[in-house]
Amino acid sequence: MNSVQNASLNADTGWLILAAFSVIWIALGGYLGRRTTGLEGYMLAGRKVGLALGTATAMATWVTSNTTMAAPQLALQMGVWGMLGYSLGAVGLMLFAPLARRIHALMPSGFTSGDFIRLRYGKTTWRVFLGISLFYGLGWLVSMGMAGGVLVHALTGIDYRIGMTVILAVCVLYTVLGGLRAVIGTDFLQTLIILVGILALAWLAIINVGFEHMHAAALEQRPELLNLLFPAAIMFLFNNLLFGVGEIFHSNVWWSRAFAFREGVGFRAYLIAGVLWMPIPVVAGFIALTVPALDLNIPAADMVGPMVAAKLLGTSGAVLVFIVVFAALASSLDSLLAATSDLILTDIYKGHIRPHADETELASVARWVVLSLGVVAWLLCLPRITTLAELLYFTGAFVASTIWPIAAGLFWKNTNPAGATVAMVAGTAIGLIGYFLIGFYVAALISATASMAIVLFSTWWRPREFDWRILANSQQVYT
Amino acid sequence: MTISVSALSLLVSVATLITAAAPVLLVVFWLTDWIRGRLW
Repeated sequence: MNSVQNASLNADTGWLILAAFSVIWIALGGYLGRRTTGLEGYMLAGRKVGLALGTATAMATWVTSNTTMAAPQLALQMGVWGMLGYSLGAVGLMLFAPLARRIHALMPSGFTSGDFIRLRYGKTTWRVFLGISLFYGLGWLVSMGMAGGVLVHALTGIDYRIGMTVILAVCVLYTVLGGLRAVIGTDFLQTLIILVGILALAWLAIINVGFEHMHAAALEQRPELLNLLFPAAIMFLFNNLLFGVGEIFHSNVWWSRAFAFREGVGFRAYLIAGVLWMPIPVVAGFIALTVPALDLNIPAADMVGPMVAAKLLGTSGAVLVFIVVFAALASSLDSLLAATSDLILTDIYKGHIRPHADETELASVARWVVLSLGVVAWLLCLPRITTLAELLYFTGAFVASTIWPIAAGLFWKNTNPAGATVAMVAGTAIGLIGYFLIGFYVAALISATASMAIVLFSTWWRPREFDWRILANSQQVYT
Repeated sequence: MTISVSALSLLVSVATLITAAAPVLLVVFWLTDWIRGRLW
């Protein structure tokens, strides 16, 4: 039972699960999107999403394949701090709760995060922000697509290109069919599947191994896993926290939901989602601490989750992990496709190419944008550039630089456009210097600190009063 | 300095309990929204 092969399914079983869940997601997405009309219906699910669907979609989107696969990996590499550091990703969701309420109040007819930056800070800051946001969005999309192919291959033996193509195609298809309504509706079911699957594994690990045996074996064979004074892991913890905050504050994935939620829902949905998400990396990650007790030999750290599952449950464990990973992948991929397409449609197509495009035109172009983005992501995923996984760490410097310009721009009327632009550009540059000179684990930390200093100083030095009423009219012509 | 067995079991048990409560809570929210006609 000690080989990676034992954690894998045969290709026939893999195909069966892949086909069954592909049909379920496409059928559900198509069914939910059948009544979608107009641009608001397609992009923002009619702006009436309630608490249940709102909370579930925030949770599901933040549970990526990384959470289910990398949390055990991090626990195996960094011990207790690895899984605790990962769980601090929830802070971003919780801190976004007041922002979601503010966004909804200030911009009741807004569509994207780009709308806010354009109206609040002007075109120069808007273009800098779009560069950061689209770079990050595409990077995340491609890394998720690649993760799909890699995981399908690792778990079932199905060829990387075929697995990646199927997963991407399924998500593109139901997002094209139903827009954000399909994305949010499928997210609810995917959240339940992910939670039940992770819980089942954790419960089996507790019952079969037990805390005392787990602790004693780890203390004897891998004492570093239980070490509470692990400097690199503590640094990772703070960096991960800021990376998560930056990802959520700037990304249209979260802004589009703030616009889509019914009035009064945004604050509660993000806060509850954060509280419920926080323990997931601990529950998914601690099973790695059973490795010494189970006497498992782990040749590849990223396969620790499936290998523990296979050891505890046999083939059923591999099936369970595959279903959970597919749900986690789909819930993030569909959200990224929808939100990045929204940004391309409103901020690039309407904002830069066709400023006078009316709603009918935009509604018809929206589906083509999703489809085209899916094709571009597929083309970028084909070569399987393994360094793309590192791209996500690289983007930490970019996204963390946006935290302060966005938060200050939403709450302080005196923050000025020049300060916001310099904070994003200089924060990114200084963060990248930290990335190359020190390491990936400080890029977001340094970037956010530099950006904060610039925003605070420029707001104090050159205050410029902003009229909040400008934000209410977010549909003004872009020329 | 290592984490004790009781602290580890407390941490994992609390995390597992909250995770177990999550699907129940989501279904309750769903039913409440559905009954009040506020799902979408």
